[in-house]
Amino acid sequence: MPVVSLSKAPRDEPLEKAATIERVTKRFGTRDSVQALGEVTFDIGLGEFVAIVGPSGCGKSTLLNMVAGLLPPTTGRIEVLSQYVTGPVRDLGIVFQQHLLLPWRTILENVLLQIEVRRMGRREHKERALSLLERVGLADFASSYPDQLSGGMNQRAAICRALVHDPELLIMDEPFGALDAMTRDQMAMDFHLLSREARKTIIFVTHSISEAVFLANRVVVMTPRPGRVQSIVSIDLGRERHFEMKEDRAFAVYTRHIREMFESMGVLRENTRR
Amino acid sequence: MRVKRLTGDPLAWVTVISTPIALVILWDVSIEVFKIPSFLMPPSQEVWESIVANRQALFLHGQVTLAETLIGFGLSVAIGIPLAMLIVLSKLLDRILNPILVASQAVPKVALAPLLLVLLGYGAAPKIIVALLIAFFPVVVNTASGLRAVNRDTIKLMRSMGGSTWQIFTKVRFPTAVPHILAGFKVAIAFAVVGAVVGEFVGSRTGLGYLMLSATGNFDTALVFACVMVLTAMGIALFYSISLLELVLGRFNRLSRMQQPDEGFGAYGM
Repeated sequence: MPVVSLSKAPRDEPLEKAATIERVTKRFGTRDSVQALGEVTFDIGLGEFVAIVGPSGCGKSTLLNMVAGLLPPTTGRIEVLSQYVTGPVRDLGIVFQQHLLLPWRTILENVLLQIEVRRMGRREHKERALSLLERVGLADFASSYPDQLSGGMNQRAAICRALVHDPELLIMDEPFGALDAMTRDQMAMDFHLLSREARKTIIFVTHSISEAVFLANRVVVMTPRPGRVQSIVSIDLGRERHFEMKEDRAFAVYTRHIREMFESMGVLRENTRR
Repeated sequence: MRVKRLTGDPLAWVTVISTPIALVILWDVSIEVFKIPSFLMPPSQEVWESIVANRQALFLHGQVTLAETLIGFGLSVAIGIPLAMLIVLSKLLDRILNPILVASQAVPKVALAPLLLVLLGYGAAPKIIVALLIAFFPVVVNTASGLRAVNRDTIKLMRSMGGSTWQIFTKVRFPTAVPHILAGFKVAIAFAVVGAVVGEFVGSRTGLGYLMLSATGNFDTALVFACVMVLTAMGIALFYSISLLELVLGRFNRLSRMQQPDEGFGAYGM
């Protein structure tokens, strides 16, 4: 597995592992006729922010589902927080592309769904839910219904729902993919700050190269179906990320490097008419 | 929400009330124009007089039919909803029960009524069974499709929270299914009235079906139409009591409300 580091500065290795993905493959269909995911192996360190980028259908979502224990791998094994995954991983929160808030529940009730289903104390967690909503700017909307809020606001509530039980691991499957470009940038920035405060291990699937570089400590680049790990790029842009960084040379070097990988795989094609 | 729209707009009420009035006028005019004899089709005046004259009989027999309808409908709900749950829960049960369900719908249940009479006698039982048989299919089909109308990722989300199959039912599937279930109820309750009356046609000494049959024997067409009117009123009342239930369960209808087309064009008189 080529681990590409563009700068000479060594990545500070995390001491503990949050997740280990070892020779994992996934096949679907009758007699496993369709290979969705090729052999994938990589580790995720505790507290690390790992982004997975790849073309549509490369199996990134499948991989996430397997890490969450919602789908068994066909071969290989997955370890999360030093335990083999055999069923839904408990110490984890998920955010999907759709917010999936229940339309008949208020925003607060939707956040507390996590607590109810887990049979944790509703009363103790109500305060935490409210402070999370306040943190993402939804303090005034706790008793609103999802259809009264914008897509971005609903997605913020969905992030609160994924964090309300204070999980170690946060899994996000194209969480900003359904939002318009400007909301998306703002969400990425706000989420960057939130993730730094929350100190979670985050696995983040996205189609956007610049979003991946902007947010992550490491970017896992995947090949087209059946997806394999093409390369893992360490992003040494420091802990603090800013919008202006996107115009910096260092940022461009990373995005260009990843884009060229997709070009070499035939996923992206350059304009050849000059 | 229809009721809200009606109360807010007086013009809407005018439309609602004027339609039946127009129909009654059309009725009387066509009798006049086509010279239809009164024993075939009595004018509205005669029907109204018959309703007033026979109000006690209509009330008593109406009560019987209403009771049969409600019990038949109630049983169809009590059987239909658990059955729909089983179908959604298990692929095997779905495969076993689906052909039986479709076959049960294909069987002319009205034709079963004489057989039920032989089996169960002249009492209320065969009427209730016919009402149940007719009503239960829309309940099962709508409930099952409602329980299935859940986003797959929502199920995944619930599973990741450690949610059990039962929790997924109570917290997600049932609330999602409420609008579908109520739509099924609306069809089912109208069907149940038909079932009860048909059961009474076949053999009975009470109920509006019996009253209609004996009035037909006496060439009392006005009373037959009086019975039809009472049955229609009963059907409408039952239908709108389900609508009322929709209002009470309004918050589960948020999804369907969101999907309603907005009425912005109304402002431009379109």
